Amino acid sequence: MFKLRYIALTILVSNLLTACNDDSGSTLAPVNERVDAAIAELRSELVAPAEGWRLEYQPTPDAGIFFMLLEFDNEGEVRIQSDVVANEGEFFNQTIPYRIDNSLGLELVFETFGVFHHLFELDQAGFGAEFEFIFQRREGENLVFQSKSDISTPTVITLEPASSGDANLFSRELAGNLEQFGDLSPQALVSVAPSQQVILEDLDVSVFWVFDPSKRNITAEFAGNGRTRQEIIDNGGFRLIDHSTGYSMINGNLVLQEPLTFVINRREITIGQITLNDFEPNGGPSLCAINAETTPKYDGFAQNLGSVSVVNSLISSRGNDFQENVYQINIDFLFDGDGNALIDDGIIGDLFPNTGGFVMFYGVELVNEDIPIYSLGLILDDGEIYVREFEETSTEGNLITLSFTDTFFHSDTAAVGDEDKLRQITDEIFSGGEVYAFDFPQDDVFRLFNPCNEYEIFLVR
Amino acid sequence: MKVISKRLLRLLWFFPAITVMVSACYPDETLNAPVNNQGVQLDSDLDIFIEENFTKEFGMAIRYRFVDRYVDPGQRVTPPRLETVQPMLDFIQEFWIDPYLEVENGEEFFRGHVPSEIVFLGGLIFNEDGTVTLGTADAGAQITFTNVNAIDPEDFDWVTLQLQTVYHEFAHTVHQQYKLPNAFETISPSGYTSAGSWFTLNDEEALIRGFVSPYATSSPNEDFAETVAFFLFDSDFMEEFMTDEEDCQDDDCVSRNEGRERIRQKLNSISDHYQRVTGVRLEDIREAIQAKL
Repeated sequence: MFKLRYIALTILVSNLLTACNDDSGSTLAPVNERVDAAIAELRSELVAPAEGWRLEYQPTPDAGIFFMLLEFDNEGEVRIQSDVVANEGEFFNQTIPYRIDNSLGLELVFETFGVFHHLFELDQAGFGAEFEFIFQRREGENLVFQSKSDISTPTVITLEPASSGDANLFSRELAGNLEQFGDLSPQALVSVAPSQQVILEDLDVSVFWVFDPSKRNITAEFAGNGRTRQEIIDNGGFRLIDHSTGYSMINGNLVLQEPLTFVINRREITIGQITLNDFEPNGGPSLCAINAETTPKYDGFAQNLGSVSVVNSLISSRGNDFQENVYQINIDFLFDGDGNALIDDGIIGDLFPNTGGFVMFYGVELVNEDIPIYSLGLILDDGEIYVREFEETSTEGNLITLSFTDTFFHSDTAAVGDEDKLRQITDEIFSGGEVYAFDFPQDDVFRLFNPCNEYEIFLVR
Repeated sequence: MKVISKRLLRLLWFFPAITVMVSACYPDETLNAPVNNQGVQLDSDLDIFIEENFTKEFGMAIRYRFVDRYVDPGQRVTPPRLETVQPMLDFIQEFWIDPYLEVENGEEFFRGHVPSEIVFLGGLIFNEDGTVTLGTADAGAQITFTNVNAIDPEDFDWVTLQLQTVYHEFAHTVHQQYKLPNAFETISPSGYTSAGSWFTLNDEEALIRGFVSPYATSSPNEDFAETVAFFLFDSDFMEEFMTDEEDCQDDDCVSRNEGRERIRQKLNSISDHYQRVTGVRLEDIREAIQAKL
């Protein structure tokens, strides 16, 4: 029995020793040599295509497509061409350093600020773009990478060898023109994506969508019969649509990734692509009732739908929760069109410097029956309120029409001349008599936007 | 005493022997493979300039190419634009390095205390909790400049962000190496805030407690660094913190002046400490900096 154990142990040791032999007859190279070889191999693949790589970059599932061409060289630089309009075309054609690391696999890092970093920084770096990618695999001629910085559902990008004609596909002029539609939308604190009215001219139908050129997505909100706001109201009003999609711009076309389909007048309408070819920076209608403010206009056509016009709009469902209630705000949150607080560099500071807040009684009957149920004005530093009445109104979509009366209410006693000052303040802030309400990314907070002077008033319900 | 049987002894002998044989099967691999292989070295004029003027000159590496270990996991940052790096180098040379080189014993002090790594970031640091970090440093080993992409030496706010960060962080090296001045903590003993609550104070409340800023109340070390940074950078320091308001008519005014007295004591203490342990007169550095601003 004793001998048998030793025989078994001898066999075990022999097996272990023979297991050391490499069947292939060669030893594995040291780690650093293998890493260097893997990096060199990936780099040689990145620099190989004669026309570089084509990338249709979609940073998040909600975003649209950013079209890019990338040309890597052996000296650690990459030329990136893109259709991203920002900083006077900085990202149209840029060369920056890149690096291939070995960490969580082979990582492609764009080392200094470029188009990927610009997208990464959107929304206080919360948009979801990236500039570090982990190499995943080869798919035919393509190279597939995955985002390193996405925590869940990492973005996957596919580099495809570019062809000589790909550089002609950039739609930078279209992208730049569409950005101009954002000039007349609320900008204070957090900018609001503009709304557009897409007029299907041949069908006499309008579609209203929120158009976000920085993230390249569209959220369709309404459709209606007619071309003007009044025509649409007279023809049955706004019919809700709820459809969001990213878009791309290729060869002068605005292409919806998920075509928009809706029914109106018993007809199903699908918008998948619009060719926009005639831009007039000042061709659109004024959004202010009293001034001829200029807005842009794009004309084009869509397959099966005929002529299409795209103009600015402020009609949106993003503020239709602004209904009868009491709203107030610290006085620091009323801004002019340049973003200056009206208490610091504006009419409130000039006429009522000792003001602490702003209040709006919107259709609310209060305990104190002397306070007009439709009125707005100031909360003074001593706690007194001083408001001016406006005629009964309601929110139509997100539009509030204000017509002031000469009735004032002061919770104490107004000084001589104060009534005239409050009249001046309310007339200036609400000149034109129409404001549009928009949600703020925080519960119960809204902003009112006046298209005539671009003043913005934040209000808390 | 516990007795081990002969049988067990034989088995114990075999286990180490087998272990040695099994481990001997692995190829001879080095353990010093780099964590981050920098890959292609771009020997640009900029890299050569950095190597000559910062790395070799002061032993200070300038990191402008993005490496994610420079920030904590969860912090979202971007690298700087390539074209901002040289102007940023010129900026820190002029406003941080040169003032030390110009004063007596300043060069020796600077070379002996310079952090090993300077990191440039393009924008601000966005944290997971929605807050934004303006500047950061790591125990004197690394100083991080944020918002380099917005470089504008004519923009007071931008200059303030950069210089207060670097003077503050560089001041930490002094108390880290030589401790705080004697009895420094006793000058405003009850003024320090509990952990994480400094931001509940405003500037005036901090002054009344005897501090140059709310952040200075967070600890004696931060008090030391903030006082140095404000003294070096703030052109109104003398008027704001060293000179009492005259003809005080209310209690707040009296309290502010009492706070100023504490700040005067702190500054004297810090100034003496600098002179004694580094040979540098803090007043000379302030003068050199103010001449450039």
